[in-house]
Amino acid sequence: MGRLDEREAMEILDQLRKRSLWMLHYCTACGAVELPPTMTSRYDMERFGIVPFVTSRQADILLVTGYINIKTLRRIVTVYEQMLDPKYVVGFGSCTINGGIYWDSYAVAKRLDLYLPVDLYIAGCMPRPEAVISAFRHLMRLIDEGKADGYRRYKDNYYWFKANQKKVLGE
Amino acid sequence: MKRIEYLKRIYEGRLIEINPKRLLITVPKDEFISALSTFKVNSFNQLTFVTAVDWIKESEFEIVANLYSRENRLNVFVKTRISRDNAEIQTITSIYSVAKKYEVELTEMFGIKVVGNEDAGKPFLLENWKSKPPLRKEFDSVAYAAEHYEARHAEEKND
Repeated sequence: MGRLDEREAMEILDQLRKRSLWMLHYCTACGAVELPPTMTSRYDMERFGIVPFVTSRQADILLVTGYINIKTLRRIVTVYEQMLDPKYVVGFGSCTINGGIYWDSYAVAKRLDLYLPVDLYIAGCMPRPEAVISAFRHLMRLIDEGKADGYRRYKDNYYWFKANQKKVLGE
Repeated sequence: MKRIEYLKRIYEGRLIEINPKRLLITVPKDEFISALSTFKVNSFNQLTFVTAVDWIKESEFEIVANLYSRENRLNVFVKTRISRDNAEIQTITSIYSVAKKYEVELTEMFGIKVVGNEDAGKPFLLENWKSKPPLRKEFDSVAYAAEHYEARHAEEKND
């Protein structure tokens, strides 16, 4: 058997990774209330290999559950940068997509994808546990196909993301 | 209820009963702290919140403190009015120490200066805030949001 080249190695790693996703659920807002039934025996997302995790250094998925206000955004960016590659960002609920019902708020940043590379959005206010599980199955498919490349986009467009973050945080 | 009777007697009709669970009293701003002390001594030993109401047409802020008496199962709202320009109150942390963070909020959200609370004036929720205090009535939240936070347009497709 010859040596694997990098592409083949990545394909095998992606196959393995997609069945073992550790999720850091950054509970910014009300959406977090849908996660306990998703995690526990009713919907049991552990059957797909997804485990809630408490530290950023060991997590693969950053699940941003709800509106992102300017104080929270700074913490989310720090948490995201602490995570190790490969890492995936999932925006949960309509607040991360377009601000949701907080569209006129003085403190809520409306779009998550300007500040972090979002791999997947889950629409809804708020999404049901079935939607969360379905999104994670979709994320697994994206990882398998090599399309969940948010962490590479973050590196490639680092200055663009940083400029957006600085602009909204007023630094 | 003996203490409530006593309070009603010393405030001579100014202590109004809104409903069986709630009392209301409006005092001049010089009496605010002494009123709070009086209520605390007479069984109202929990401060639930302190906040402000912006009466922009009258050019006044109304400071509202909600106290609760566990002994009598009774709420009281203690209200006072201060001028809107150069709004300033004395701290009430010496009476109710939980008021510390509420006073930070008064400074941050309404721009009311709190004398005697060293935390008030430091940014707590609004880091790097350069505009007016956002809960003042003249602050236009929609315009601020449109200016500072980029919106997603409906026709844009990201799939």
